Amino acid sequence: MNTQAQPDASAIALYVQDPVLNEVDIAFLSSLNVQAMSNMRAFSLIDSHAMVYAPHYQVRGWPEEMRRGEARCIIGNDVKPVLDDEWMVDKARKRRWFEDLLGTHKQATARTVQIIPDLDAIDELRDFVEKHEAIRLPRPVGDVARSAFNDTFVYWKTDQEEE
Amino acid sequence: MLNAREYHLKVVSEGNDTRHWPLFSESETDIKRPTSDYRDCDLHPLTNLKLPTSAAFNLLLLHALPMPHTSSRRREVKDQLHPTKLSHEVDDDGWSHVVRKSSAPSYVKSHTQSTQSTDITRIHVDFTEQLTPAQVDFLRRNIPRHALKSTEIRPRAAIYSPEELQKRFGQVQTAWSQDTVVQRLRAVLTRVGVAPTADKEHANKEESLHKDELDSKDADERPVHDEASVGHAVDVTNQLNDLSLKAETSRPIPEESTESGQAYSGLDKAICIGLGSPSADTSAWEKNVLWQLVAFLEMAKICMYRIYHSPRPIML
Repeated sequence: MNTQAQPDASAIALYVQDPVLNEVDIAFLSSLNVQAMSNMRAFSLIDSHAMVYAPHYQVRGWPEEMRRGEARCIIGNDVKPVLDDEWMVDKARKRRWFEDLLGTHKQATARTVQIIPDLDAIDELRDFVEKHEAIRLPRPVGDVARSAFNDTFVYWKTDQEEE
Repeated sequence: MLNAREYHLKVVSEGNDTRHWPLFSESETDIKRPTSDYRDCDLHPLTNLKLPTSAAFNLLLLHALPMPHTSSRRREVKDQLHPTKLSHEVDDDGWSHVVRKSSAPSYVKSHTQSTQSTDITRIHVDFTEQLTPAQVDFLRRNIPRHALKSTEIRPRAAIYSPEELQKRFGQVQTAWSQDTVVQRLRAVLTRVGVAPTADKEHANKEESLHKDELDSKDADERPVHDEASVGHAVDVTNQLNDLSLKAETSRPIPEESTESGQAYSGLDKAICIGLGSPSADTSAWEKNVLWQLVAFLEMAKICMYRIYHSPRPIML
């Protein structure tokens, strides 16, 4: 680590969102200058000024802000397997077919991500992959943490997209 | 521990075909199972259960969740949850009960098979009491949050006191400082434009560290570049080199760039989603939550470093 620079991470706003946070967690995070959120409010904070860290957060459950690449940088699960899941994509297509037939189709929103994703959500993820570059995170060495970054990638927009 | 009698899992499938499964078992001892059952089943979400849970609970989740992609893993999970080990009954109120027994009516098997081919689009989980941390963690990770009412995933009960938590956090921080992942992480983020580049000597040193470490490791210790299974995974070093070149040559230096640099960097927040509970982390990945928290703080710190010390805008 560079001793010359000891930046204070609190100089940017830090948020942790999880519904399972308890009072001890909240106080602890607060001591680290991290604002705890137990509801979904953090999703609405995702924009081009945000770095999102969501390791092991199921891609199928990504909010639309993440799927659409609104964050400047996303560190999260591998997106590709979702797109490569032919079974799931096929199910999504069939569902869309029925929805169109019945006139019940509504575009997916951040709050309607489903186990079988909406076809729109799949398209957004496909678009996400096309417009982002990705690098797999290195793995920690220790036994306990070895799986900490399994299939975790850093995603950032390609130059063309950014411009 | 789960008292399954108290928990109802209501599964709503497409076509308004609503099924309710109150879950229960004969006794708490009955729902205990060796924790090694799923520990090595890497491909299935049940991997991380590692907790005493009822076969019925697993069965219901199995209905709702995609099966492992490999047939051997699929067989393994199916064997664990074979319908012959379960029984299915309907009570007077029309609620279906799945219980674990030595034998089961044949219709359970057919029911299992049919529901696996059903598009279940919504899952409502109604819990009348708090789940174990691992169960909540499992649900949180595997069931879309829209399917869960906000009140249904509740805060976990803290296991560690604030002092113990602080102590554990310190231990993890120490471990982080000894783990080369910090250097490698910094090297990665440096190359994609987050970490400092103004301090070239430092950046080069870390890059060198990164390379040295890669060179010194056995093949199975290296970061995975499984291009066959992950199409967009690329060779880290090569791509990072390319990125660095791009960053150095194509990025304009804003006139207003200063030491603080915040104005043009535009990065003003870091958000960690789905961290888990630091004070109640008893999952199979003990301390993993704290590892993730330290990683998150470290990344935020790296971002700040970049903002304060590089005249270039953040590339990301």
